[in-house]
Amino acid sequence: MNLTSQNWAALMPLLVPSVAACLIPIASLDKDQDTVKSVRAAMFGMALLALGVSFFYFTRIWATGQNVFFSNLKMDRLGQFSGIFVTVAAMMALLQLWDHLHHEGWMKGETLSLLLFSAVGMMLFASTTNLLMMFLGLELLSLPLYVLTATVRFREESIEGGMKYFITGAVASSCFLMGTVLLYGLTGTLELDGIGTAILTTGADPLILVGAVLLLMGFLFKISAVPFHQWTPDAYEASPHPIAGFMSVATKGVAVIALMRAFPGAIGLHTATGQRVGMALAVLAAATMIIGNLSALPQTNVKRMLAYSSISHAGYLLLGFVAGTPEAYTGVLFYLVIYLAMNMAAFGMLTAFGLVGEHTQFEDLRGLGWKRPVLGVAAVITMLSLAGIPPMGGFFGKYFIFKELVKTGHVGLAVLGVTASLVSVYYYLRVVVALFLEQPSESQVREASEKPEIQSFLSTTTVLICAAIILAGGFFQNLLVDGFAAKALKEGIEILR
Amino acid sequence: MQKIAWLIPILPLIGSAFNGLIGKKAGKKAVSIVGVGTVVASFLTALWVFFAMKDAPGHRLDLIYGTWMATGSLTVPFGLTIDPLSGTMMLVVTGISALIHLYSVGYMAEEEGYARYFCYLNLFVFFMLTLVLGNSLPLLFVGWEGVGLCSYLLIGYAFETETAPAAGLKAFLFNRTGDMGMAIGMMALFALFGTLTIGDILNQAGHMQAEVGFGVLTFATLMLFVGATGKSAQIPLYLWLPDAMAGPTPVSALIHAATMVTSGIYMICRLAPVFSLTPITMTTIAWVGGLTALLAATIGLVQRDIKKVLAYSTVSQLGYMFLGLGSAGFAAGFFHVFTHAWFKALLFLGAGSVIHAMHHEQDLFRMGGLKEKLPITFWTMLIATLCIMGIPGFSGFFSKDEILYLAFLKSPALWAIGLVAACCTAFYMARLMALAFLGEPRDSHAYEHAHEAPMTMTLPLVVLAVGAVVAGFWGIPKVLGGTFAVEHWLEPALTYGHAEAEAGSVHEGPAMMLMGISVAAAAGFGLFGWSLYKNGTEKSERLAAKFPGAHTILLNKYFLDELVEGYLLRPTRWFGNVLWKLFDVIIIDGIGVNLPGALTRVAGDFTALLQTGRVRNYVLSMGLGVLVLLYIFLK
Repeated sequence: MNLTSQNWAALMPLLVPSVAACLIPIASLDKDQDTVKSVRAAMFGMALLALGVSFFYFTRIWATGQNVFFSNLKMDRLGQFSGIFVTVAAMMALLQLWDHLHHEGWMKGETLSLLLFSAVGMMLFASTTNLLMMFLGLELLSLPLYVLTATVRFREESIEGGMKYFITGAVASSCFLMGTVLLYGLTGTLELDGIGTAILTTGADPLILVGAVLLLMGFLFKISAVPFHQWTPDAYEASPHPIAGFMSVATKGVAVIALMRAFPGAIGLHTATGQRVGMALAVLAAATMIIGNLSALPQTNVKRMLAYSSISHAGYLLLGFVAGTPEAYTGVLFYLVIYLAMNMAAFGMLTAFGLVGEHTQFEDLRGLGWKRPVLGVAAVITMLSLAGIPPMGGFFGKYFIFKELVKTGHVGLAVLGVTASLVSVYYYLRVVVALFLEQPSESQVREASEKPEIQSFLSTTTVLICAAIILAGGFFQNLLVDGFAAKALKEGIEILR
Repeated sequence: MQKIAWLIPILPLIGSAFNGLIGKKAGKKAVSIVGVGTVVASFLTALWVFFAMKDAPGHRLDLIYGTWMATGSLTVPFGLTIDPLSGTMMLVVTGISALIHLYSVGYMAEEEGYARYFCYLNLFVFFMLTLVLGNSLPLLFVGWEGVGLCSYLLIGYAFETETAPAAGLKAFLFNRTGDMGMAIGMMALFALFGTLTIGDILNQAGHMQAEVGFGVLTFATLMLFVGATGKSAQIPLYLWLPDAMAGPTPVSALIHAATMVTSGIYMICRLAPVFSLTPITMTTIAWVGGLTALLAATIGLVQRDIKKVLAYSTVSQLGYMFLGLGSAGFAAGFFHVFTHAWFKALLFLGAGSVIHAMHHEQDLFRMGGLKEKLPITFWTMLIATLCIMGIPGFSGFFSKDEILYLAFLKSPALWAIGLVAACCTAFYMARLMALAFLGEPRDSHAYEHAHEAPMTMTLPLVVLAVGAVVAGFWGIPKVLGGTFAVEHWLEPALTYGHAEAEAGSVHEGPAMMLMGISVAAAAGFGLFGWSLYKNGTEKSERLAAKFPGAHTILLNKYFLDELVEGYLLRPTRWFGNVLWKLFDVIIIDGIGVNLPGALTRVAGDFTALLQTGRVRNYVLSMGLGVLVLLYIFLK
């Protein structure tokens, strides 16, 4: 088989991390205590390098403005966008993992390898329109994540959460596969475009619609929309914080992008089926915002709160699909960028404060803002942005989506969205209150004085970078919207051009 | 070149910023130099601009520096107007300010917060000049509010005491009440004229007929007058001024005697063509002014605190000014502002010198015999006393007599009120002088240590004394062969080149006789007071014992403070409590805010119950979700 340079360009960003993922476990076989530190550094370096090369490739391709491909792998602008998105999230997770695993005292090479595999799966998932390839990507991203969730094996919750994620995930995957089978059987094609045309020309066979529903459920599970969301808090609580952040950001992001390729990429909003999808998404988005936000209120664990918060953000993202205008989808992509920064910062903040294991209650945050003021301010910026308070980026993400909702006549949903984010202010500000306004209890002070000082340079750096992105999203959003999100969308999805 | 006029207000602002920001570190010497220097520089600039204005066509400089705000039909420029009225006022403000700043250097030398004091005082000069020079009502209002703020800050200067901050607050609240009227009046004028630039309003007013009955214009001017009663301490908003004496004495002299409290009169003069269109307002002004003059003068008869006497005297004199304005004598009213600024500042500074010498003793009944110890203070204060009494040849005579004459033309009753007030004035001033300077020292300890003040304090006294004598000759009445030059000078500003010369400038009929009566009465009561108190307080106590009822009422200032407390403040406080406890705590906080919060929280607890932690339930909910989707897709 002769590969053109274009084929290589499409393949390389996926190949490099895959190769690195294979090499890292070999390096971790070295059990010599004298060299353990340098081996660790080498493994992290290799993983970081692989992701960095991949990131570099994506930016180079983006700069040329070409849509490269290899067989069913479509590295168009949207694929490049998701590639950049995933590699950035993975790199941040990697940097935070270095600190987190040191705090937790659990350093294994396979963790990094699994992370890389998962990242490759995500890139694949978001850059194809072939259902079988998509399924391949879905499995390649899911299976490593199940294991990653249970990384820290000596914690019982870790195993439990991983297992729950695995079982529910298996159900979702099989539904996705079943949907694929139905669609292939009835339309004779695995290409999304072909399925779309077949539905348009033959009319909607009920079985095709059943297939579409099953497929849709596969996406919604990964987006963690209600009622396919219940694994989320358990899985996030079980995972190491950087993995939870990575899961919440990258999985949700690529699932949203893949959903975009199917709907509206293959089935437009104006078709009869498209309108049903839109209605279904509207119902689920409303339920997601309500249940996500309300359930976040009584949480005592920051990570569970963030899990419900990520569920509610899934609701806001789905609202963009309901509006269905090119500007709304641009808003969704912009929101994803800001969301990446917000959640990587929110989970990274816990690592940077040195709160690992069980120490992720709100009480554990008390007074830490005064101890680490710079980090504290970054955390405040993150929380304000999550709550959607201007001038943070999170506000504009929501604003773009709600604006389009109102324009397309979905005023009720927009009001619900605004009310929901109003409710969310309460639980986000609890973090700020704990960080700056509450005094640590005496036992906490004693414990803190006994422990050695927390070394978390890398995770602190990522949190600060994220805070900078959030602020940039607030003050220079035109750059991100027009230069990045809109381009990716318009050159990636034909229907919106 | 005249555009340099912006320096006049800005220089004191720079001084204020310097003293406020780095004054404490820079030291007292630097604060004194900057504080006094900027005001003196401002005075010199003002002098230069004043002569430029005099040479300008129509005696008028309109300097526009740009647009301040432009919204809809409202455009307000940033500009200064210098005409005979604002020019004269600007010189009075900067000149007397400069003298009082200099005096303060000596008076405040040992006080804490020296830099803070000069910061506020400079800031006051800035705002006062904004008020005087601003060419639009909003700009005037900025100055109006600003001087109120500075007044509040300076009254409460000794914030560690109990009385000073309370007095400051009282002044501020009374002023706010008036300011509300001022703002309403401005809005009414805008509704009527469509502009807030003073020149444009006056131009339009010149073409209008006087309003018959009670119309919008009357309402607007009445509201503006409410603002003036607040700032210039007239009935019913005068109660704050006596309490304002809690501030340092130079502040009382500058703000609460010479300049700020006259801004109400200044504002009415500024808008004279508008006010003269509304006879109802004019009559109201005259009566309020006359009654205030009488009321305050009678209270002044029995006060023991030297500054309180002067405070009531100020209220009373301000009443005279309004009486003049209301009797269509804008020039006469303003002339009294002008002369009063000199002799009342002098009186306060003299009182300050006495207080300084007596180690902060303000009770007249514990003074006495200070004439030998404080010769300069005594002689300069005596000049001021003769001025305020209205003795011929001294400035107060010229201005007060003009007002009384105009009041007579308006209504003989007003003239009678003014005359009685003048008699009281003569009496309490003579009493003050006699108690402080004559007789035996009643507090020998303080008397032993009393000494004349330093140069920085006596120099302003002498300068002001000269000014107090000379100022009157600017307006020699026609009946005495003069020309009442001040009226001619102010005419372009007061009539804005439209209306003909005011009524009342032609002296006829009983002018000479009225003058004779008032001079005789003033001199008589002055001598009476002098003889009653020159040998101590026994004679007066016997007199008071004969009229115990009247004495008690006067001593307690007609129980007006108590009435306000009982019938106004207490119900308001009660009403406020009701609003707080019922509306704020129960309705807004409880039902409006906390109830939805609690409901949301309960809903959250409920949805959290859905999360059972069992995988079989998770999968069940996923299955239900698929069913819902199927229903939506297949229905």
